[in-house]
Amino acid sequence: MITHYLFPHTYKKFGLLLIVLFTPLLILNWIEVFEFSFLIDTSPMTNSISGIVKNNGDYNLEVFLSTVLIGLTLISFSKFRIEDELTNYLRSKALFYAFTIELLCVLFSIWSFHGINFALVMCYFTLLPLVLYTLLLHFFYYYYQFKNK
Amino acid sequence: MKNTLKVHRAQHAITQEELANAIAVSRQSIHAIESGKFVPSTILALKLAHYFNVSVEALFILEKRD
Repeated sequence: MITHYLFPHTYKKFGLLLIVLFTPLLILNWIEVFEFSFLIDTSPMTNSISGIVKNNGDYNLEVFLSTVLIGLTLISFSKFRIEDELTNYLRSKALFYAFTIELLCVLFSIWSFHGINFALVMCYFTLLPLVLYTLLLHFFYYYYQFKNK
Repeated sequence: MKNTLKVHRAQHAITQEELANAIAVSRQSIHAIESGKFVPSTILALKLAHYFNVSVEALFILEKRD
């Protein structure tokens, strides 16, 4: 696995900081958006916090969600303190399992409750890695086979 | 694949941490190799062999199931 393009190790801490700061705000914002606002205390003391997380026609939800995703990206694609063969192997293994589980979840969602329209949308976002994986795997396989002749 | 890394490390009286620092890998890697959970690449196997001044075959032994 190519690790030259990974972020430096210190970025991991920055990603963790973003997640710790923005996940509670994201959860509170979701509660507000999905009309569970009775869960938020509206007493004068907490009005300032409530004002931050309310989705008053702004893009709070999108901002919080994007920030958490950036945090996760920084954590996932930052180097470990010592980046060696074992970490490369574990990275590949984790990526393989994540990809497989995600694919199963999508297929289950299509089959169980979302239907074929969801499948058409997900083709662009989720099933694309499967198509790319299959194409790239066979390309590399036949490329090496051709090169060895 | 079996390996005699732990034996060689004991003979040289060095810790996993010291061996890891000497060949620029993490201590977890040494532990994973010693416990047979991770098979190192040829480069790492050669580095380990050079460090202990033995052949790779003396460190790593193929089993029948391999």
